[in-house]
Amino acid sequence: MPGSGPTYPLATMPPDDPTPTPTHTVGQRLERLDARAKVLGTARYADDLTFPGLLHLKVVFSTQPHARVLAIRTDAARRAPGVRAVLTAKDCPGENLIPLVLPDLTLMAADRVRFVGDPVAAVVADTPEAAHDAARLVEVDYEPLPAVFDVLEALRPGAPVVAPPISGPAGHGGANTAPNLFNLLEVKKGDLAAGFEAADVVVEQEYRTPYQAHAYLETQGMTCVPEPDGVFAVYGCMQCPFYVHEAVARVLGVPRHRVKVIQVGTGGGFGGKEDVPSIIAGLAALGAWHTGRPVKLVLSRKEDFETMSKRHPALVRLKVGAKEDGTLTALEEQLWLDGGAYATLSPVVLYRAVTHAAGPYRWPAVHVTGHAVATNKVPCGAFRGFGTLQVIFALESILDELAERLGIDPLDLRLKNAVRVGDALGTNQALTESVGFIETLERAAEVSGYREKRERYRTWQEGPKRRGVGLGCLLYGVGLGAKGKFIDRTGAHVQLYPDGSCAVSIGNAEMGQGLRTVISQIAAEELGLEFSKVQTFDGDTSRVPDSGPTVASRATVMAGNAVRDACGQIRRELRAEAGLMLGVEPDALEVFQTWVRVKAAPERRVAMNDVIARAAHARRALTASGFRLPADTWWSDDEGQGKAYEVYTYATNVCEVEVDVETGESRVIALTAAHDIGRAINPTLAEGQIEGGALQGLGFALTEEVHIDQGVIKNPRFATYIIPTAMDSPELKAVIVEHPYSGGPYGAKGIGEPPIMGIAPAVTNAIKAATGARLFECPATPERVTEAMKAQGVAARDEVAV
Amino acid sequence: MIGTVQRILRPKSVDELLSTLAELQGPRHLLAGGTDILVKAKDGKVAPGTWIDVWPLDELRGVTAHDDRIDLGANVTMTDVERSPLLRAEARALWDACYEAGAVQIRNRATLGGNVANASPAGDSIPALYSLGATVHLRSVRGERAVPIEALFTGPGKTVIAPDEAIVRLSLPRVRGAVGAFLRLGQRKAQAISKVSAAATATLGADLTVEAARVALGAVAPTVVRAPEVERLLAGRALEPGLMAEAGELAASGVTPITDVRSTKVYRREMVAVVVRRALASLVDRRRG
Ligand SMILES: Cc1cc2nc3c(=O)[nH]c(=O)nc-3n(C[C@H](O)[C@H](O)[C@H](O)COP(=O)(O)OP(=O)(O)OC[C@H]3O[C@@H](n4cnc5c(N)ncnc54)[C@H](O)[C@@H]3O)c2cc1C
Repeated sequence: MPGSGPTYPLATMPPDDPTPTPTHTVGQRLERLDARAKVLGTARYADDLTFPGLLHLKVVFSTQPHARVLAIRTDAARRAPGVRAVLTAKDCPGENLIPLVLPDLTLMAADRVRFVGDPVAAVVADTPEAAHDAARLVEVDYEPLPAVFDVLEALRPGAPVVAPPISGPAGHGGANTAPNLFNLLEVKKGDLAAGFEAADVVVEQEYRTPYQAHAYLETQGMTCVPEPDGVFAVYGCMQCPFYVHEAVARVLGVPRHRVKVIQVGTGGGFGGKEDVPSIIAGLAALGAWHTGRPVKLVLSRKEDFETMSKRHPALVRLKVGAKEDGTLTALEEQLWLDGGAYATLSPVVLYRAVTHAAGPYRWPAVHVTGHAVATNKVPCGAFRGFGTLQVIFALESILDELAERLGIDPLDLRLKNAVRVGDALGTNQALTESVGFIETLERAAEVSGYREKRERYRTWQEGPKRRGVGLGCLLYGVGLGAKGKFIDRTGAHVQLYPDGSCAVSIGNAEMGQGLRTVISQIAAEELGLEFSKVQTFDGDTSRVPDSGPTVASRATVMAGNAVRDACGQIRRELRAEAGLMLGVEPDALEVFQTWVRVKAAPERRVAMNDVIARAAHARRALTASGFRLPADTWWSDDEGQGKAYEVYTYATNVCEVEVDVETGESRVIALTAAHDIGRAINPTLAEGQIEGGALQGLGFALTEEVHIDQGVIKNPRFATYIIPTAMDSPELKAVIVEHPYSGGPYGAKGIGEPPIMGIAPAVTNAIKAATGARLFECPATPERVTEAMKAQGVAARDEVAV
Repeated sequence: MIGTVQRILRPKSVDELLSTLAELQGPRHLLAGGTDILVKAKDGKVAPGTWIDVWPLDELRGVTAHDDRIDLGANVTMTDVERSPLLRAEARALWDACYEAGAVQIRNRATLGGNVANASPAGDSIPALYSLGATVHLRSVRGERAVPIEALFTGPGKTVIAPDEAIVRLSLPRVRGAVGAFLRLGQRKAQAISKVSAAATATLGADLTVEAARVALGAVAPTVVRAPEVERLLAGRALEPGLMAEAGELAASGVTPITDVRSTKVYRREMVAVVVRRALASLVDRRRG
């Protein structure tokens, strides 16, 4: 009724009540919100979007690994049919820069190209065909410069300088102080000399790990639409809408309120859509700026393979010592990550690598030295695991070597040295809660039948086939940690409608991992709603505050906490309203499932729907913004110590493999993965992460390899870059272990990345158990396995040594 | 693919196809299942020109048994082969090759004519067809000619097929009691191109004496190759383990494969010994039933 005053007096705001328990949506196996659309093919991805007057952009990439750009001739391209603009670095109205850890990545190379694939020009035309044809008419005059492709060579005095010294904003993760050295980091704990002195057995080895391509099903794609009010709206696939937001504003030289970024679809990210989407968006925005029309850029699979980021190849020199009884005494490691031509995220990938190098074990003495190095190759950036697969492969391999030398089973060696609450990691970080590592070891061993199989497979042989089981363990620091904390925050916006339905906006991205589903579950739980009443929307930078990137397995924890913050504010209003309805103080009430009830007399309750309807009518604020910071972390570069991450996920993988010792082919029969994730908000989705990550890990372990010659990728396609197919998938057993984390929503920790991390050593340790041959490099292709068998004197047709 | 398809023709009969081929000027490309040519076109490896879609031509389909031979239309797909009990019984090497290739979706489109005309040294049906002594029938408005499959290939992707000719069918001699096998190694379990392959078809006496044998190798030379020295070694001798191993080693010593993104020359050479030995061993298993 217009003009009438409030029907209900407003009660004072009660304090928040604790999490309802038992939960009605959290912990349930609910169907993913996007499942049907994806299965039916109705989900929309970057290339599905179209706009009136849309133009298409094609990039001209460098064909040289290292060269001075003498001239870029664009006249012929400009005259080609349908061409609207041909753009180069000098056409950036703002800065020709993609802001990341260090300010070195240009949107388009200006006077020097650093790798085969550096963008040098962009052609905007009426159709993709016209853009494609015209792009071939752009001629670039290069003066080749000496190039360097190997990390150790790049650090030698006199090496060609790919990346001159440069420094980033203070505290922002790193500075390269020497030529070609993006970052140098150390971890130091205890007295190393004394540690090796105390050891009865010392093992020293060198390991290598390869590039890995993300192989997301959707290639990079963005459209930038200039709107009539001067706003540039950007739509596309990405993990980090706020990175794109900043990049587009800086490239165009406009304030950030003139840019709006909307994340759509996103057919897989795996880290590959963390930093590079800013380049794609920057180019599309540049095209839109110059033509005044919507401009779309979608990379072909080949372009995407050749120019977008990859996992860092690594060289690891590792030395460990232990006492006769298996007690670990010291670890010393030197690590080189091949960062490629630009720093992108290498400084912080290195941070995660060195802080994870000692694994989930108790070491009295540790010294890790890590280098992130520049070479004239494709820049490496974020990839699920973020620098950890490299160090885990080395550590978990050498622990098996050590176990063999000590005559101790690899499982027992790990059990003996596994961290528990109260222990300190290699970074000297004390672990205060949520350490379920030992339980993952025990559960994985039990579910996989590790001990019997270890025994049985010692002599197992069927023709040329041998079997073995192997372990691969890990820990993973959830969130951005101390070197990323300056961007580590999240926001959310929650709006309740009078009909009892709810809209949630978050600043983190759904990319197939199920984030929107998990966030809807949390909101439904917090507000006493049925799951079907909550809709979580795709990210839009105009609706929520900067929530940082959707990386580092942080989104469930961070966005989940921000949503809880917002919901807590709304819940206080709802309890106040329910207090009036039930005639009790709001403090005496709690939300239980889809009801509000009196704590002391649970039979006295009102349905949440009725409470919401009345609260809406009373014009209560049923909308709120939430905001959260992570628990504090710190790192000292000088001491090489710190509280590197707020909490860790722990996991144990057991891989069972059958090797054909004549062909060197390895078939993974079963893979059991036990993960302590604190609490599974949706066990089905958590298992999906574990299975998918394990399969991607098997690709890294067995088949995936980028062949690069003089900076040119020789296999930029799925016919020759070999990812696993359904036929290659073993029986996957996901085991969820729950040691709740007090700082996570409902106790949850992150699960996005850990599933891929420990697979490779589990596979190669199993291959070693099966054949007697140790792989010091992955992937364990048949070529490498047969070579290792020959080199290590394990003959194909002999009995395998027991 | 942009630019490579200048126009597409869809003849209604083989005669119309042949007259079209005779009249056309400039580059022309037959399109059967498209599983090779579309991939190449996308990579810009197909000269811009006229495409002729032969997939709808039912005249080129069908597996026909005659007294002395089995005829396979050029458009017979790998799935057709896989579903034919006749071919499983009498052309086992070919059946094995089609069963192993690609994955279901690919096999549903992949034709034998396309696999042969594509002339890849890694084409899986080709070693099998060598071992079966297949003949390729090429037809043009000038007439039809029969080319033994081994004489068809002149290099990777190169054949003696003239620009106005099309493969119309393949024929396999029917040999009573022949057993066959095809084996390959790939980079993964499905959707992989062979790194090395071997096919063997033989008639074996009751005591496993080799009466006649043809052995062919894939992916180890610019074209699929026969292994005549192996066939000579086997002739008249009983297939026992020592002989099979020797045959494998002999086959390996006769090839000079290359290193590429799929494998290395060392591995390929060593694996020739394994796949040949194993193919022969499965002949024995199959002869014994
Ligand atoms: C994912 C994938 C997996 C694959 N796996 C395998 C595998 O495991 N093993 C394998 O051998 N191959 C494999 N291939 C390759 C391909 O599927 C086969 O070579 C297939 O048999 C080609 O047949 P098609 O009908 O698709 O040929 P198309 O692509 O239509 O044609 C291939 C060539 O043959 C010519 N051609 C077609 N028909 C005739 C005719 N009647 N006369 C003359 N020329 C003709 C065409 O002009 C073209 O040059 C794979 C391909 C893909 C994409």
